[in-house]
Amino acid sequence: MYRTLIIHPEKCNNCGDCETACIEIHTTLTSPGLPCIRILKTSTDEDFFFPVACMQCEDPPCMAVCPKEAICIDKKTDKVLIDRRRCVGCAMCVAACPFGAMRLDRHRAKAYKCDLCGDDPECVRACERGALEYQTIEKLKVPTMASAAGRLARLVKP
Amino acid sequence: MSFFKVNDRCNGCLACVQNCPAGALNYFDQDGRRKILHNMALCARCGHCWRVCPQDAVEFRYLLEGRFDIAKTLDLVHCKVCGKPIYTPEFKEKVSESAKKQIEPLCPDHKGSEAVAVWEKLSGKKIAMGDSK
Repeated sequence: MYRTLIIHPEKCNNCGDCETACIEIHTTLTSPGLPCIRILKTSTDEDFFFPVACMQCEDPPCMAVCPKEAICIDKKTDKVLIDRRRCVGCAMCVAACPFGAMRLDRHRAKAYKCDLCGDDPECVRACERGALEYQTIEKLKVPTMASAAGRLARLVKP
Repeated sequence: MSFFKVNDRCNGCLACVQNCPAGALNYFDQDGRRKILHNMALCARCGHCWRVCPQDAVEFRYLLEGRFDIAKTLDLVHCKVCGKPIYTPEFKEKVSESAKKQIEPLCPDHKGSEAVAVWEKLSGKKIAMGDSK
């Protein structure tokens, strides 16, 4: 049992506080202006906003494609982490991520994604409407989903 | 692509070859022809060849200009939504092979459809995805 990021898209009002908080805390990790969490907007539904961050997949496609073995799963916390000394910025993980949560920092030539701020996500603290939560949650089994998306089921509580 | 260029005034006196301090110039006489050779990896661009040339035949500016050579030309795959070039077909193949799944040609900004699809399934609500920004 471990804690993870829970997203409630229906509560999100696109204020951008999570993105700002993420940029502020990750000044050493990413170049300025690159948040790990991003609010997804749709062109058709104007009231629907979906904050998307790394889903900490069970069987991460980014880890499978990395040619330098720079992505690993921390056994203790079950987090997917990037070893920045090994990353060469080839962007294969960026192409493989099904959610667009993995991104490339072109100035530093390194991939970056949500690392859950150690164990205390700043975006959760910044979110005033409670669209983001950091909690322990039981695994939700939805057999029809792809393995990567299966993890998202736990994170997104409708 | 040549960095060391010599104009028509060159008469093959070999002054440049003999005076090059880096040994970047060479020549050989074969089949009744004299060929002057230049090795860019050895050249220090000191300009001694240009200074020493009695005919003013060495066009030194080409050594300083250093234009980019085309090392390789590849096709591009574009994002299905915004049309931005993202990677090459070879790159896509490699990633698909490692991930054991064909990847959709989408840039990170337009990959939300999968996350939304999962949410739709769980909430029972329909969210129409267009080209989101």
